[in-house]
Amino acid sequence: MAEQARERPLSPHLQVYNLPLTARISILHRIMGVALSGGLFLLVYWLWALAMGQPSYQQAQAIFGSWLGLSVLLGFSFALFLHLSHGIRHLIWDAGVGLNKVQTQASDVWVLLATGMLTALAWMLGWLLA
Amino acid sequence: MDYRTPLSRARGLGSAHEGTGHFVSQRLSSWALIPLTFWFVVALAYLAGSDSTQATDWFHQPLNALLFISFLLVTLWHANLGVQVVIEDYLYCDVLKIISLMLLKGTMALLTIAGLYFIVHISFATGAA
Repeated sequence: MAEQARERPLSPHLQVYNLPLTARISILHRIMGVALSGGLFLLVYWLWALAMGQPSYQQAQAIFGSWLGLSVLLGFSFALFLHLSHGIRHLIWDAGVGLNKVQTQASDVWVLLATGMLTALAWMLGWLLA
Repeated sequence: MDYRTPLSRARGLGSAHEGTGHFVSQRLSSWALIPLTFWFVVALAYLAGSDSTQATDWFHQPLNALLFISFLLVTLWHANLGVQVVIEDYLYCDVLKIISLMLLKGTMALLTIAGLYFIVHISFATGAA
């Protein structure tokens, strides 16, 4: 029975299609959402370090300030702004606005532009204030 | 012989009636998180180069502590709703799904309690940290 089940023809799944950019951003949105949820552990760790006092905070700041730490934070900032930008688009879509093909193709570009620009701005701000 | 109306017979056989609440909750937290996220990023940029005295002083400002708590609570709630949907979408095995959901809810509850406690601890800490 099990063998028979395995031999059944399967309909083609996601990987056989050349997905439009909107779909790729949608998939990324979900992956980034899960990644950001995991990142909440880091945020609570950072709060713990500050609550515990100077030595642990200094250590946490050193970890986040290292090249590895900064790379991870760069990734998280990109994820955050992609999730934010595409999330705002979702809220606009909720109103029934901008759902046709031409409009979604245009808003794809806006979402990616906003993500890139906000990520760059955030790091410039961090660099200026630090 | 069944004297119940067709509506009465159909009631309770459909969905769990939680979908709309989940949807609305997800959207409302999204709206709240737009300004909170921008505030959070600016706050982190400011705190990036801080030592513990500067960071503690920052948390001693009630507005900063309150906004940080708001950001943390709404974000944890939003993440809880979002990851729940991912688990429900991809895990077909009921046992695995229920265990995963319990782990998710438990983890989110722990992060909420711990995060709140640490912020309160920092905000009310007196003297040298």
